[in-house]
Amino acid sequence: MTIPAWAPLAALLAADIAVFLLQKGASRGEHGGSAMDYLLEVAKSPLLWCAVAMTPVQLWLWTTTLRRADLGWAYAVTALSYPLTMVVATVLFSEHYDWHVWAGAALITGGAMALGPAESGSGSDESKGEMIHEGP
Amino acid sequence: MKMDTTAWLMIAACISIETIEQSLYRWASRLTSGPRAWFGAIAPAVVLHAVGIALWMLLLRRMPLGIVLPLMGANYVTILLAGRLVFGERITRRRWIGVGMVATGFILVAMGETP
Repeated sequence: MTIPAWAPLAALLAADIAVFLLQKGASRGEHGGSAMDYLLEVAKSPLLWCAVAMTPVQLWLWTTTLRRADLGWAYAVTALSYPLTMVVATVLFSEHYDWHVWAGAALITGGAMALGPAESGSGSDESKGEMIHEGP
Repeated sequence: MKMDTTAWLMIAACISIETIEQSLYRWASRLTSGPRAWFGAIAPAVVLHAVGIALWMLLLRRMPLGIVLPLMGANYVTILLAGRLVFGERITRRRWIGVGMVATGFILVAMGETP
């Protein structure tokens, strides 16, 4: 069975969103005390360690994606993780934002797409070097 | 909910750390592999990454994910500008437009409120 070209990219997008949600999930709950107490508590959270364990998965999905899809296209699609995470956060964490936030997030997403490499996956070394695939 | 001064300082620190970290990786890519690349660039970048995650988790405790996540998109601009200032990389007109969009979006998100 042949895996469609978009499948690893869709999985990467889902993984990016999952990491943000897992991090937010780990930060919730009754964390009293100082910042250090909180960090020590969070370090024991299975949700945080799930997010950490996703890192090699994300890397594998990204390299798999780049073997099948144009770099510029793949990069642009991953920028969608911001607004999609916000949509899921409204449901999972009951977060609500006013129109400034939605419009701002849309502009940031569009801007991030514009900042991505213009060349395709077989493009110039310069564009590959300047490619940024990141998240907090 | 409005961002307070502490939250803004934490956002600025997260963005700065991410920018320095990515610049270190970029610098390491220009060095021949060896102890200088590992101890001078990659190891400090990994340490910064851990500090950045700790700060990010502290930020998530204070603020909604949907507010701080798009604000972290400023990374795209600061890393691009670091590439130009530190490594002399070229910024095309399309990318300057992207910089303007991210900057405008950042201001809009900062103006926003959550119930």
